[in-house]
Amino acid sequence: MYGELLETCGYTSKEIDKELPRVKRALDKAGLTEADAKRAQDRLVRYFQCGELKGMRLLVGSWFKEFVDLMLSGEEHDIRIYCELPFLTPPLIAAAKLARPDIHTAYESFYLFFVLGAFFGRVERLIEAGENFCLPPGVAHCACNQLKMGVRRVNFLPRASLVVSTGLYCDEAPKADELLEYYFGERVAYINRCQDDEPGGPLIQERPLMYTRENIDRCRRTMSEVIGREITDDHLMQAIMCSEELSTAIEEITELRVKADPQPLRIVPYQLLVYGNLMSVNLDRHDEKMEMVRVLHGELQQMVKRGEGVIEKGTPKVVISVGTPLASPDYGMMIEDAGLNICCLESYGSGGALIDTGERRRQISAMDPCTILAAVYLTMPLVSNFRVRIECITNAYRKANLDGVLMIPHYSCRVLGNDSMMVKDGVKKELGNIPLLVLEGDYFDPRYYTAEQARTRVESFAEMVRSERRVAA
Amino acid sequence: MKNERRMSVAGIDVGAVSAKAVVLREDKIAGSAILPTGYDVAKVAKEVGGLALAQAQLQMDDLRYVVGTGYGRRAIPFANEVITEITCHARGATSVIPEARTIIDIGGQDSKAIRVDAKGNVVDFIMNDKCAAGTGRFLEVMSRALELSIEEFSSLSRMGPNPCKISSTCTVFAESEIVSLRAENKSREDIIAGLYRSIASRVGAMVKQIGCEDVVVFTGGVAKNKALLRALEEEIGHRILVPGEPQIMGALGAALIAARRNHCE
Repeated sequence: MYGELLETCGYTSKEIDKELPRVKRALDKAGLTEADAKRAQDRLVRYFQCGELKGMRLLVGSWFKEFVDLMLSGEEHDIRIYCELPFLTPPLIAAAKLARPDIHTAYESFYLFFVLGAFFGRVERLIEAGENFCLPPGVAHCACNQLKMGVRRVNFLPRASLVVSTGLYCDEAPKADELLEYYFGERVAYINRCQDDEPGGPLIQERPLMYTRENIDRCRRTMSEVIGREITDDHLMQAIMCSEELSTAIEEITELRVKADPQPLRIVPYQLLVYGNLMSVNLDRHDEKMEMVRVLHGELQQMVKRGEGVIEKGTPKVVISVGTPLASPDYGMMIEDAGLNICCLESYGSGGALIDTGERRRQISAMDPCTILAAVYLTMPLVSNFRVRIECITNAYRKANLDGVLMIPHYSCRVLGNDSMMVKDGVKKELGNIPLLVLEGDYFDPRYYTAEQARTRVESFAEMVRSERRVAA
Repeated sequence: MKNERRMSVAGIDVGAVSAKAVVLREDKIAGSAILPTGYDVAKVAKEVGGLALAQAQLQMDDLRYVVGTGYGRRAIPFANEVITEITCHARGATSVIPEARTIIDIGGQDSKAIRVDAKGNVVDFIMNDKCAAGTGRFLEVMSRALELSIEEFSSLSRMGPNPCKISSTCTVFAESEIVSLRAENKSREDIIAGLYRSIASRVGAMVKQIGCEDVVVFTGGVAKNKALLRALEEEIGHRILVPGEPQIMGALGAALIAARRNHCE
């Protein structure tokens, strides 16, 4: 059964022969059985289009390989650097591995949410372990934080030599990361920002930029100390350029998805693609990833040429803010089956690439790598401020000539939960009474919000959008 | 008669608590029926449809088109099409009260506020389907806690002068609150007044979110409760109209959509 799962993950026969013992050890450590492997294989075909698209098999394979490496990192590496959610400057961590290739770097929570959650449907027990340990349910604790406590409490993963945490966006994550030091003795490096941007000022403002830059540089120095090698500007630039290369390649698929009708790639596999880049903290597989994007793009182009799709032609198109629940792929699929084509994410309105084209690129091209990372971070729609998010959604709506806006705030997140109501009002103010639906959801915890609960609202919304289309016609 | 049969269509609304059916003949209601939903959705859909057909002196074969709606919509075996209850309630309510622009529907296990345009098209809606507070089921549980039948509870149209504060938005916890209030010797009327205020405040908040516009119409079985109607009017500051048979508005809307599909074919 494991061999079949690996085939679905795009492994070649040669790779299967070589990797099977490692994979078995990793799955065993994760408490996953052959029955789980069968379940994962079915889910990969059902939710991630792994049956028909080789590019998707390679993509899920790249995630799966990271997961296997993570599970075995205690046996295979002496130094481990984990970055914790919400962490959005992966090139910084990737640069550490360039400086010292024998260390292990991982975006630990995301690998677990996607692979253990979305692929295997088995992440709940780790969240519950965190709840039972120190972050109880019902008090607005995000599953990201509960999970990282849970994995340590039950010794699911080896201890980190260094955890990189960010208070740039979420205040709860660094508070929870203090507990990693307190309970498990793990060293934590924090990257902070100041939130007091000048209202109405330019997107990149000098003081927050320099403050964040200094925090990133300080983190670089801490990482250098932990790994015993200097992480140079060259390492950082190389990581940044790889990230940009991958972003640019993914951007072509984004453009294809926005225009294609019928839609050839569902939202769930597309999100896996986008997050695959955002979470790239290990450049060992960069070439593999570039090849995967090339294969996937080619397959999608062929489907478009043949007029093939997985969502019916003419289905109303919507932009989603921020995304569909990551650990519950059935939720995203239900929305599409109920009659909506989620053809782009909120970030599409910003250009979507990690380093945006145009003015912003010119602005930051002359900067040193830590400043570039700070600038990129501060200008990401989700992180910057709610006005930028409103602008992104309205840009996406107009640019892609959409039929509506769908919002699924991450309800256990204080930042996103609050922001989203302001964003909703702002979008309505900008675009008038366009069809806009807000659904409850949780990106990481599959237990609280189910697809069936939301079905009636999504179907009603789709009926409303189609009716508006008829009226407009 | 043969021609009339060709023009017969039906709407079946299988909700969480009750199943409703409306049969239209030449766009007029020829029969309607309501039954408790029970466990077997397909069976109750057939039974409630059968009752409405019998009233219309028709048989299943006489129906040209059937639209299913409600939570059980996808399990109605003889439906030609399924449409959500939000669209159907809007269509049903505006067919009876064409001036309607805001529709409040309180069903067995959900409540919704719907805004419609002059043609009865839905332009916005909001729905609470996560929690039973503010729904028919909430009233059922509370009536049981007060040792009243739902009919007795609903007929208590005179509310107490000092409404109790029912702070909880959870049905189960609200029941516990009632036990505490009874222990404090609060009168039934004051407790009931508090419950109506609690529902009105919850539903009112939804109505305000979509923007309340006259004329406001109240549908669903709970709309028959006059005291709640008054509490809602007070909460949203608008007069609210109730159709003659508010519980069948979803099924009526489904039947009207079926009639339109039939005309188009």
